[in-house]
Amino acid sequence: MYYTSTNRSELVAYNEAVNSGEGYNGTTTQWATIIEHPNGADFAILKHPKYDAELTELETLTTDWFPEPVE
Amino acid sequence: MKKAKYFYLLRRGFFSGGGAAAGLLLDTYSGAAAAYSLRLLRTAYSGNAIRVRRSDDNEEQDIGFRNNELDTSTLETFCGTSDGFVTTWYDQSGNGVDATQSTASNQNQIVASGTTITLSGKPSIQGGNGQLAISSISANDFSIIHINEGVGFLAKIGGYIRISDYLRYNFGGNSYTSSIALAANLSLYNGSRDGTSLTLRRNGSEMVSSPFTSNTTALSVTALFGQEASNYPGKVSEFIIYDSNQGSNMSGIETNINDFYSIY
Repeated sequence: MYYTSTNRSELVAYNEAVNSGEGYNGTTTQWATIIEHPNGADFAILKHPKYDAELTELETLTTDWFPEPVE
Repeated sequence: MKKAKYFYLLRRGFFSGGGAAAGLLLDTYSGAAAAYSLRLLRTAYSGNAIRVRRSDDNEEQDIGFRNNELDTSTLETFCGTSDGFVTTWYDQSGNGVDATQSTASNQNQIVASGTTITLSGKPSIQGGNGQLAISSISANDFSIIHINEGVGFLAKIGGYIRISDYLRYNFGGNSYTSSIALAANLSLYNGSRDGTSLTLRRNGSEMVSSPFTSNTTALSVTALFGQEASNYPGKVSEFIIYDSNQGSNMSGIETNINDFYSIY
């Protein structure tokens, strides 16, 4: 499950809320990285199973979110 | 024998009979640029195998070796009934090229509900979540040896050079070397370049040997378990990079690995 938004800062705030709640330390520094859609307007972050937010949910990210790997 | 030395040797597995009967791989075939494994590869290596984060409280702990193999007893005690994820796969070559992942959701799993994940009866890392980044290793001639199970993007090797559903290399442009398909089952792979000749081996047998002269760009390895958004979904137990062609050592290296993992 992912949260999506056109406002990147909303997802940054979600990530920071998870980081704070989980108390990562040592090598681990954050819950997830924010994924930017190639269109440059949409953003997504993996939902942590323990943390909910008032954001749009998406079951999976479709292939259009990821550019083809370079061969 | 002094007690301290006895316990040191005991910890390294000298009296246990554990590990590969042929000895530690890098003791015999030294000179690796980076070496990642869940078994001890070199007598002089005194570090740990991996650093693990447990899922219930996110505490981390280094896990070393016992009888030359991953200390699964300590690993499972640390994880309890939770899952364990690899934050660092330590480089045993002596070059300090550790493979790391600092983002929790991108860390690959080694313990599931308190039980170590295995491949051919040996501890193994389950891919699928993300990649382990390593400082770039560059080389012209090379030998890359890895043991894995599953098909997918295994490593990011340069901008155009990678191992994906097949094993092949490219040093720029759209001209590729010959390739061999990755197998769904546990296999030992070996890709080596010597000057303008490339050899691909699987399970101890040469599959492809082809010349390439169009491009001589150096090899550059920057990630394990995938590249960009493509994560390797299978299991990996060992990944060794030599920045020189191992040529006549190939058979011995493969035998050492197969003696331990019983791959073919």
